[in-house]
Amino acid sequence: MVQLSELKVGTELRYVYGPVTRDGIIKYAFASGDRNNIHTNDEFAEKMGLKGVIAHGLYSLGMVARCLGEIASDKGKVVKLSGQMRGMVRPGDEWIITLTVKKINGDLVDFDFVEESKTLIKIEKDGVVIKKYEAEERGWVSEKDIAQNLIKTEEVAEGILHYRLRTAIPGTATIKMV
Amino acid sequence: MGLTSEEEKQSEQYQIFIGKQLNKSIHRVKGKNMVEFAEALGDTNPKYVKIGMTADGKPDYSTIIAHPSYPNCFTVDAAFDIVNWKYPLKEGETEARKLITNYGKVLHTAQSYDYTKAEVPIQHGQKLYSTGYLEKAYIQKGRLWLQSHIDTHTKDGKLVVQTKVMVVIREGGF
Repeated sequence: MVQLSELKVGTELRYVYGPVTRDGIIKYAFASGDRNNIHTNDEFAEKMGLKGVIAHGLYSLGMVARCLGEIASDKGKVVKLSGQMRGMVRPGDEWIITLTVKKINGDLVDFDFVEESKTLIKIEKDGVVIKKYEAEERGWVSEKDIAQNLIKTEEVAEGILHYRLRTAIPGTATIKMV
Repeated sequence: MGLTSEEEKQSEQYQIFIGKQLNKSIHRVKGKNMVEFAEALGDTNPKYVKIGMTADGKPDYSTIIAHPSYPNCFTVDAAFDIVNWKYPLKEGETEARKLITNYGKVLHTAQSYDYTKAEVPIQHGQKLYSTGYLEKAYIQKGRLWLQSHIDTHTKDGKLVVQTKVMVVIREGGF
């Protein structure tokens, strides 16, 4: 684990959490008190035009706070966290958080961060789709995603995995060393 | 914000809400909830979840601190007061129009926590008071954007955190 005192301007740290589950979203809804049905009820979320439930934006931002807490350990505390929720995160997605040390000023360490969501779409083998994930079944990937070149591929044991990688939350944070 | 002239015109009707106070919300901090919140994020960092034990065998929550994003638990209540806001009653109207007509169309779009001016940390047993006001309201790309500023204090007025909450109301919700 990286030590807070070892950080330098430009140091990049990467954390991967997930996958997001419906149970996890419900647990967060109860723990935070935000029980809006767009997060907990697929049928309601569909009526709201969302193609199924979405994770709370603050749940995703909370994951950034989680890795900041790890970085701070008992040598620092998170004093600022700010994020813009730009991309919806859904069940099955992974959170990929990349933090970059922007500035170190005395006992304050400033970060820029980008939280991305990785959405599994399908696995192909020899040009044939052998596995479809919920994102493919429910149409969560849009033409816009394709046009913006957000669809990526990687080799996995079963074949070629197609997934979408897009920004969920960009933002800034500050840890104060104690 | 970079609004077009048309968006600026559309935003005018919302300016009456700028500065309007949010209802004060009260939150009792319970150690058990602090632990559940951290665990809901999958965060097992001992500083958030490892509770002690008192001499008489009861949980001792003085050993833990609140997760940095724990203020979600009380800012959500405070910020969502705007869901109940109404326009001033116009002549001929019997019922004032609601600012937000469909709660299901509300999405969080940004949030910030600032502890730099905090005088005390968030701890088990505190009674916290969140007060705030609407800071920004505008139309952009067919959506209504509302930003609130919320300060949270202890009973004796000590600041624990400052929060900004931006929500967007999609078409059909305002």
